[in-house]
Amino acid sequence: MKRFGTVFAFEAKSFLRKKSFLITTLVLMLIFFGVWFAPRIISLFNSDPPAEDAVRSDAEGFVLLSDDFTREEFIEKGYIFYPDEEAMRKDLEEKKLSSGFVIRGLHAFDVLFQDRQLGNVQFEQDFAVLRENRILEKMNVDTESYRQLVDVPVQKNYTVLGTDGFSNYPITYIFIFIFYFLVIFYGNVISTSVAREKSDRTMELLITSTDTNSLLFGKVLGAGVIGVLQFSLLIVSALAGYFLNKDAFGIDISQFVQVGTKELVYFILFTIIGYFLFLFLYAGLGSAVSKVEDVSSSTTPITLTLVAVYMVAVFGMSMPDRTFFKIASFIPFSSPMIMPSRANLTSVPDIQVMISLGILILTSVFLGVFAARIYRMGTLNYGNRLSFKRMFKGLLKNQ
Amino acid sequence: MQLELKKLTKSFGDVQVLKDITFTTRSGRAMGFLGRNGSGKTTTMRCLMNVFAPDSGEVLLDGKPFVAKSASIGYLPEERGMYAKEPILEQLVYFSQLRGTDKKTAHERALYWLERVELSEYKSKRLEVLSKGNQQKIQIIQAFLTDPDILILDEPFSGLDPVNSQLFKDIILDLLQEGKLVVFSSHQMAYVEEFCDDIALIHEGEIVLTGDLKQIKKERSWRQVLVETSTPEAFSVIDSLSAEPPEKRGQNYRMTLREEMSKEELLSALLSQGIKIESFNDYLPSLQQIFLESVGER
Repeated sequence: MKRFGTVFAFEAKSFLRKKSFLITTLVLMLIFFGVWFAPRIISLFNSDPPAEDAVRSDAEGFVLLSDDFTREEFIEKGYIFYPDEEAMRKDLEEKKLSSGFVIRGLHAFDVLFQDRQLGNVQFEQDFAVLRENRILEKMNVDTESYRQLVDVPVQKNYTVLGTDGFSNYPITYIFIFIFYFLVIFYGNVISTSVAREKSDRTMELLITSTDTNSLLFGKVLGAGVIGVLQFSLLIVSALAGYFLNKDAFGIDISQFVQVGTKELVYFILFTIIGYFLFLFLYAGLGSAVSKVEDVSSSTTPITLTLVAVYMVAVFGMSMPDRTFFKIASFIPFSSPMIMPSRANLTSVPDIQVMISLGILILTSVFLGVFAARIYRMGTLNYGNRLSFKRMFKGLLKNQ
Repeated sequence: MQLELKKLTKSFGDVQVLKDITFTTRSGRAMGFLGRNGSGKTTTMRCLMNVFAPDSGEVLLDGKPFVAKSASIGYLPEERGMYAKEPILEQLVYFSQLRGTDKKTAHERALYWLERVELSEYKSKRLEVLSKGNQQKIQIIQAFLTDPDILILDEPFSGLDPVNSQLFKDIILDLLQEGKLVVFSSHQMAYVEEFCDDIALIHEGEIVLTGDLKQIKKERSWRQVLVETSTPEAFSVIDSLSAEPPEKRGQNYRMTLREEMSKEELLSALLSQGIKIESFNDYLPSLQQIFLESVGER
């Protein structure tokens, strides 16, 4: 690892020299900064009150086939009366109504949609209230007094002794997404850059000049650090944009994304080390191909692994104490996403976090050395892609 | 310094690419490692540079095992790629640093060599903007940057125009005078003939001939002389004096000396028979002829 520093500096600088890289960073920063101005910009155009629409496409109709309810009760709540189902169906088909209800009795109604969409619950609520009224009336209870008694809000106080998984849900999702994005984006940058060295035929010169570990570690860490820097700049831009426009949002978004110092440290450690672990894999597989075009097919197994881990992480967020989630928080490929999530969502003993972190660090170093070997083996392998079988055979032979 | 390759063998799968490659070269002498395309030159050089390990055999430098990475060595690989999209000076300094030169020295030397091959004005341009020939020049000087004691150059002249070839021949001659050990490969025999002190001819993975080129030429002259004459009817006289039927090319005749006759006696015999001699020389076969003969002997 004598020339690690030289390779690191060269690789990092080669990004900073590229105009395309600088311009992309700047444009992305502007976008991340600018989106937060959206509410202000929209409000500039929305100064006039909306015009009355003749045909309400979100209008809802009803047909009453029961004596338990009166027509007026529903009209009062904004539903359009139809004498029979046929007429209502016709209007639905002509898109004059978004949905229609056939009220069959105290305990039954049918719903007709033109196109069914999410979130059509208003009628259910209205129906429930009217039904309750009718039942209360039958029991000779004064509905007015009943409502007065029931509508008093209940005082609630939450005290969380361990981890507040409910409030930490959004930030956990953001953590998972940041890791996923970092690895997918910069992983491909790395494998493409290694493959380009091969297709430029620079490899032979490199490997006869210095040791492979310096080359691979320097390359991955050089580009990796630039990736983290670029990404941090984007986050800073987004935060700056948010704080400048905080008041325009009506609600304080930051209350949803609070995180404790310890959890933040865990997140940073796991994300950065896990990120390098994946980058080593991307670099190793990048050197197994001889043309830049073949990179994506060669790196598919890692991308699929990452997608699987992402899905486990998102799926497990709602049940962070399940065994599969615990196990996944120790496996080095999934722990970078899942251990910080667990720590955010439930109580995790420090010792578990430390053990998982230790496993992750050891695996990363091991994979770095492993990738360097593949890199060395792949150097003069032009033409066909190195198969996994040949890779492992070659590695064993080397040892 | 003396670099020895001893019985190097290398196979790829079932194909034996190198068979007992053995030759020796010394500082101050240009060793031409010559052979046809696909004869095993690049594989030998890669084994020498430990790009891959030979199956058997060894490489010795002054009698001790040679380790390419710890030796002071400049290497021009056959795959002479450098970074297409990086500035020239920047990457020359980088490659030099990778081999252990400090940044300041690397920078000075890179500038010196760019100046010497007349490409200073392109130092901050990306490599890909240069013409192919000029890219080649950059790739060659990359091997000289660390001021190495040993230079291993795989096909240094391929793809260069005559002017640039001469430029690099002069550079290599200067380096030889400084006492560097130079091994270079080529498939263009005529091109490097004047330039080799020693040769190793490789054919189908085997060394068919190696040694001091002048010596080899002398041995292979087979008591022949080249006579140039302006006398039109010289053939019958020359034929009568030659041991073997002479070979005629224009005014030049290649004669073989008879057993009992010395060169001086032949010359006076020709003059006494009224042949007008324009020139009279030992016949030395060309490298190309030596190569063809050696390969033909197999």
